[in-house]
Amino acid sequence: MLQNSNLNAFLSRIWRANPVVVLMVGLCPVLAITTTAYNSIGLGAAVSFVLICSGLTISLIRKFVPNEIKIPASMVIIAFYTTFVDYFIQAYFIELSAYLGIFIPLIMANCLLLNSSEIFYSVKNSTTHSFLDAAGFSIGFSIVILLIGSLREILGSGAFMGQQLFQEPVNVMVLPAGGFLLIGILLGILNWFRSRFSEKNDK
Amino acid sequence: MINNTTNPVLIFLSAFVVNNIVLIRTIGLCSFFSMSNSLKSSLNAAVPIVCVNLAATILSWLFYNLALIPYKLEYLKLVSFVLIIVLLVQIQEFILKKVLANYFSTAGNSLSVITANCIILAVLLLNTEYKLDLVNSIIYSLGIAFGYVLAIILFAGMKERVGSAPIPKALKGYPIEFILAGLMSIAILGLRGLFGL
Repeated sequence: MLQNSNLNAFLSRIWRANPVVVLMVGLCPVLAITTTAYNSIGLGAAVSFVLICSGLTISLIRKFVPNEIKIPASMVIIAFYTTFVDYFIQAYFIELSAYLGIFIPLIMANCLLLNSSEIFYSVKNSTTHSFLDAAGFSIGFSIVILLIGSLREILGSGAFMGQQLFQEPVNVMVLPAGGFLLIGILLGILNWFRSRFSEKNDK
Repeated sequence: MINNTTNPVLIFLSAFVVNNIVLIRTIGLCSFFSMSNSLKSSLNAAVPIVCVNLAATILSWLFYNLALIPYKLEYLKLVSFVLIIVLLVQIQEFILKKVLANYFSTAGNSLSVITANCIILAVLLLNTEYKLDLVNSIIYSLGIAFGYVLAIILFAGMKERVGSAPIPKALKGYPIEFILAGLMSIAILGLRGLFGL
């Protein structure tokens, strides 16, 4: 059963309350991992899995867990799923795991998850709502990191998904500094669009 | 790469500047951006990070090497580290509320956010990844904590100057902060490869 408020929560996570570009949470892996589009997809999938599963579990057990231990309880749940993802990637995607390194276990400490588990706890809504919220969060996160990953791969190594596009790329873009610069410029462009758009609405 | 045979001074230097946790490894950015609004608030973030980091390193090293490795329970590493951090953050909040009520009111609710952020967990995970012994782990974690403090203080200073500078309207706020952090990161990149770190 899809209610209107549920759908709204889902859609707002993708654009109006996007975790990365609007709420500014979960930034650490965004900068460190998004050097290629492939890595971004891997990270996006891992984060989405942990986010959706932990969100569902937390919303199911919310009624039995006393308020005092809600943070430790949700952290243990998130840690369980994160460990699962970590070992899964190490077993089946060795190259990816060498690249993601400590950032897979660090998904755990991601403010994104802490924020969202806080939301699942505070909102007295149904499991459907929690699921849609988590799904919205993960889709919004994945879109942004895929965009940043593709741009950094194209600019920084002159390739896309491993296909060489041109020679002599801008090497700084694959370094951490390039990530900071690119996100700064992207946010600037977004701000500019937003101010243009709202000005037009006013007139 | 560092290991147990590396000179302790070099371990500290590697964690402190060459592989700076914020600017090169890009870990702990949430608190880096939200706590650096003034020099004072960045110092407020600095003290708990150093204290909790040190305590968490010692506790988790003991737990990992004396309890998890002998019984082959390495897969519980993440859960146990997280619980150690949560425990320490609760203790620290309690102490600060009792002893330093004044400090607590200025740092406020963001304290638990600062300390529960990625940096501390990252330090513990890196210590186990490099298989450092207890003394080297402590040196490494201190290096990382001071590296964070260095970065956030420099960044707070730059943010105060940029606040009064004429910049394009669209770049105000987060965009210019990211660009500033990128420039700082480029500056620190100049040290890459120093002493083979």
